[in-house]
Amino acid sequence: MVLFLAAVLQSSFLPHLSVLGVKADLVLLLVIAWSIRRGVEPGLVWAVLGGTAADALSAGPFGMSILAFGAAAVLVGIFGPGMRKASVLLPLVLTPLASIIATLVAALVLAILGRPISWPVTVALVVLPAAVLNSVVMLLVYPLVSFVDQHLSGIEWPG
Amino acid sequence: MLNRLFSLFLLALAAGAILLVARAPQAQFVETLLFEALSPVETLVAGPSSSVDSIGQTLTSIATLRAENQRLRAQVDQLSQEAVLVPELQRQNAELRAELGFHQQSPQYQWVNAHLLGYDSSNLVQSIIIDRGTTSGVANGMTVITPRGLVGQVIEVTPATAKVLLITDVSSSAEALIQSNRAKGVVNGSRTGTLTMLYIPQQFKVKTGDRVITSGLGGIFPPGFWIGTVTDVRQNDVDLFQSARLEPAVDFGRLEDVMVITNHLPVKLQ
Repeated sequence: MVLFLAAVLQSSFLPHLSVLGVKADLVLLLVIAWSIRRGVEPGLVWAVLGGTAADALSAGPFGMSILAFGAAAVLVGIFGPGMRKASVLLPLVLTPLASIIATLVAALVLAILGRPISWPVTVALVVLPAAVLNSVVMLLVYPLVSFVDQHLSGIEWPG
Repeated sequence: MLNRLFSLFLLALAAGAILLVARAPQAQFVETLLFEALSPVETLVAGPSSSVDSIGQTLTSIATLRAENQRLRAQVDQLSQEAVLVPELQRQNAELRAELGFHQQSPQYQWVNAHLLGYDSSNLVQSIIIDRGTTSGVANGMTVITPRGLVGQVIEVTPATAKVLLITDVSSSAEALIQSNRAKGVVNGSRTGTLTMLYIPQQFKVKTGDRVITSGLGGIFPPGFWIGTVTDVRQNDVDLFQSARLEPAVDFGRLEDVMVITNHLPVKLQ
């Protein structure tokens, strides 16, 4: 439910807050945050659900976001839960990496399906700005997800 | 009875005596003396009395002011609502006038008005979601415009909504021609939000400010819709074609309402 709501907000509200034509990917951030908290498998579940919601509101091919978010969930889920206790800055480190991976995977899907992709332009105007913007917004998203996770699990995690 | 008559007689006698004495200077002196003695007391009493009077007036004023305050607050609320409503009405008025102008210029087209629901959730695709679908007569492939110019093409439809691929999307292309010299080419979208017109024959002189419209070739978009304005020309004698960068006619960042042309569908070439 939260993921679908995030997808709606991303489509209707966040475009008005775009920077240089790029908006924060709220659904991706939720997937990343959940993967950091819970690991690969729960992250993949959220990637499928969130990707479905995002693709439903996109003119891109269905499954593009699912694959992109899934790649991010795997990357983050492998390192996240184990390293989370080591540093509270972990989300800030993993978010830009996961964002870059997710956007590149989505662009690759589009290119394979015949869409003209200029990789230098895409990287310069979409991939990198999105990574920066997502990292900033993650400062707000991760504490919320962390709070929800703590209450759901009933276990106090440091950071 | 006799006592009462006697009392009345004494009263008349006293009144007569007073009238006779009052005119005497001595009586006036006493009167003045008494008046001076009583004046401070009267002043002392007059202050609170006037305060009571002013309190009374104040209380009356408060009630009046409260009523007037409520009236003015209601007036302010109404004016505030009008301040919000008037620009909206002006905008709707301008849009309707533009639509009317469009209809007068292009009476052959029928359309459905649609409102923007949102933009594409992905940063890699330029599309919008509108609030009209198959139940309103919208179908895949239909052209979407504003009175100002070309917006894009419907690519996905549900009963109540539709997705429109914008002409600024990198996968979008439109057969076009330059209005002034009729030079033909193809307009593609780009990630930067600008448009690029390619394959312009070298023999045509293209200059900044030239308007580019749909040519109707290929049957995708109807002819005559404004796509954009030339802002930069790239011409090299050794190349087969020249190209031009265009500023879109439509401000895609401020889209609110669009029109879906319902009596024109892309021609399927077999």
